[in-house]
Amino acid sequence: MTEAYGVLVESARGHQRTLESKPRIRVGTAICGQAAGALEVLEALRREVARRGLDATVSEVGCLGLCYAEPLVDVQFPGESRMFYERVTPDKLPPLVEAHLVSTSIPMATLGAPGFPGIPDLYDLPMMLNQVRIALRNAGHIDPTDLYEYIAVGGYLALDKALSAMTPEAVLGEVTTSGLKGRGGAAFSTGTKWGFLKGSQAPEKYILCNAEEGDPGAFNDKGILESDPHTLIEGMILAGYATGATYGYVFIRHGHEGPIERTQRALEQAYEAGLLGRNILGSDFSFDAEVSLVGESYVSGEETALMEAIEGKRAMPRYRPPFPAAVGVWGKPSNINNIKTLAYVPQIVSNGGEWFAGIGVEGSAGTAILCLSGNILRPGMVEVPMGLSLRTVVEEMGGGDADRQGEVFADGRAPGWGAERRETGHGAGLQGDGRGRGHSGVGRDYRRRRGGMRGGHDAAAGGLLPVRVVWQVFPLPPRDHSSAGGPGADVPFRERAVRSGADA
Amino acid sequence: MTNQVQDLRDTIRKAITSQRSKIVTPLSSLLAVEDAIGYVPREAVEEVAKLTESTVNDVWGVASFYTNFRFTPPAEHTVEVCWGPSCHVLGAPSVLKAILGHLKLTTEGEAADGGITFKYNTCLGACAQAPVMSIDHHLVGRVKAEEALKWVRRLHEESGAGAVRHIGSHGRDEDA
Ligand SMILES: Cc1cc2nc3c(=O)[nH]c(=O)nc-3n(C[C@H](O)[C@H](O)[C@H](O)COP(=O)(O)O)c2cc1C
Ligand code: FES
Repeated sequence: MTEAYGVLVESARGHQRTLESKPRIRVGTAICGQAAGALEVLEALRREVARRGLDATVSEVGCLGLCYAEPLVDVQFPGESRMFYERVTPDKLPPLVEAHLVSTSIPMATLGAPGFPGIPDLYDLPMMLNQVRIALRNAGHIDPTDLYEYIAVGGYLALDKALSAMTPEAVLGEVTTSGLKGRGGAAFSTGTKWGFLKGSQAPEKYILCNAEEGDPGAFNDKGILESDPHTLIEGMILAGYATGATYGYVFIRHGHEGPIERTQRALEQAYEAGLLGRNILGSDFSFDAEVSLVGESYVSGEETALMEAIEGKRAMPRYRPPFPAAVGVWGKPSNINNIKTLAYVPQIVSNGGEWFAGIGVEGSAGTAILCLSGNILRPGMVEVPMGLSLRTVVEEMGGGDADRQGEVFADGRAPGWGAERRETGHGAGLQGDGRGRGHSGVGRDYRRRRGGMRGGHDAAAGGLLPVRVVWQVFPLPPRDHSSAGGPGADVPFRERAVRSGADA
Repeated sequence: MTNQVQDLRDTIRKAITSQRSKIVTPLSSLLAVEDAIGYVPREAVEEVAKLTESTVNDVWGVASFYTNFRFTPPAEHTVEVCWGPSCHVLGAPSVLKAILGHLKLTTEGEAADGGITFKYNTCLGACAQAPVMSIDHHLVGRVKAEEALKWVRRLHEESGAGAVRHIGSHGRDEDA
């Protein structure tokens, strides 16, 4: 361990002891929490705590993924379990603060010993059951604006390990061994891509994090930034160390204030703690990073368009070759990864590539981070091992929909949901009708009938996994549209929205 | 030059010279202007061109590319309704219909009789709380048509008469 990291860990422990010595109330204030009224709850809670003169800590946390339960508040007394309360409203607060268990507010779950009779553990909730949380391990648990809390749960340990005991080649080796593939869409091997950049001898190289997330229905990239921005920053620094890059950009769409603020704050804290900047943790490695904002335009999520946007121009994709690893942002060699890809890296370095490779299925290592929304019982964000069937995710974890009619619109980008779905599909069986939606032909349309799922799926496409699952109830029309895209598929979505807006 | 224009230029200059980002570009500067005054007037394009040593043409090129920029002042309040897929399937069409009807609009733009700008949003990022709308950047989820109307009425009562102007989807059709 580096001396500098040792000092940070000491401070983090002290900070943690202070936190744990008092009652603590956490409120999820990520975008989805806010839309459910979390800010009003937070304000009322602060007022109530002050009014009663309570010595309690009120913290804002990110998204636990149980969006259906928002606003989600959890209360923890020293040495006791965390008690989670769902759909809290400002008027439910006074009794909650007082006894935090009165007849009207029964917690939905608890976490940690000793638990509470009759109340399930958080991880036994249906939505949590199949989850393996790597990138989301801290989401909803730690205060994303508190660096020490991140360190107290093992944050920057991987960076410390890399800088004190690993060569850049060894870090790259672990990432290659892990089998990690890019979560931005093309499922390209991350180790291989990093290898390209490492191979360049240029003195100035860049690491870019793509958190543009222009796809409607996807909110997991923003969710990570809001819930645990340091995980991404640590992943970026490790990517820089492994490839010899010294500058990083986190690319976020203008207007999403929560994710932008929290990321900016985390970057400042990392600088203050010596985790970014010159001679990180006393080593001879230096790395700088900043947030770069882009205006609204779907195409700016494409990697070379994004480079144009960083340079301040119109986000128009560039011709290739040359590839970014040769000529990237500012004409310098660059590596670009989706935020989810980078968020896995600290755990891969800590636990080893073999560990990550052991999760998921052959050819698709690790987990998938999915957003559930639409007409589903439990909308939210989940992290499940690659290879889990979509039906398990939608029906068992998400709870399915009420009238058992409709189609799942699974669109997006990320690797993994490949042919293996057939084996693990709980008999659902996915059959391809090959219809692509979205870019790179990754979007598809799973239609479920009589309990079976049919997917517009191209088993040969390298195994592409939707990042969002939108459970739609477009009532199924009489015509057989198994090879088309559902009702109104020939009408572009925007137009469809206007049209039904006008007709409704 | 009138005082008003001078003030506007000062505000713009202040916004573009006090950017947080270390690297100042035409895009970052335009976003800073939008954050400060809610739109990009001609003066801003000129100032940004000067600051970033680009041509006015180049800066217009950037400003007209991204759909978030508008070139006329927004009304006092902005109401956005998400019409992304998750919101669409959970009732955004009826929310849209109610609000458009109330504001006497057929698409994005400024309501004729009040200080409200109405905009569509392709995804407000809170899909799990669909349908979602935003009122002056404050998110409201699981919204029903009646509730949406209540919010809009409240804004309407609060604000005075706004400019009568209908604009295209990106706010640039009329002033080209
Ligand atoms: C039109 C278009 C939009 C894209 N949008 C995104 C996006 O929003 N986020 C993202 O990470 N990748 C997006 N991509 C993919 C990126 O070009 C790039 O492949 C990816 O960021 C690489 O990261 P990875 O190796 O971690 O997957 C988009 C690609 C295209 C063609
Ligand atoms: S689709 Fe409406 S908030 Fe995302």
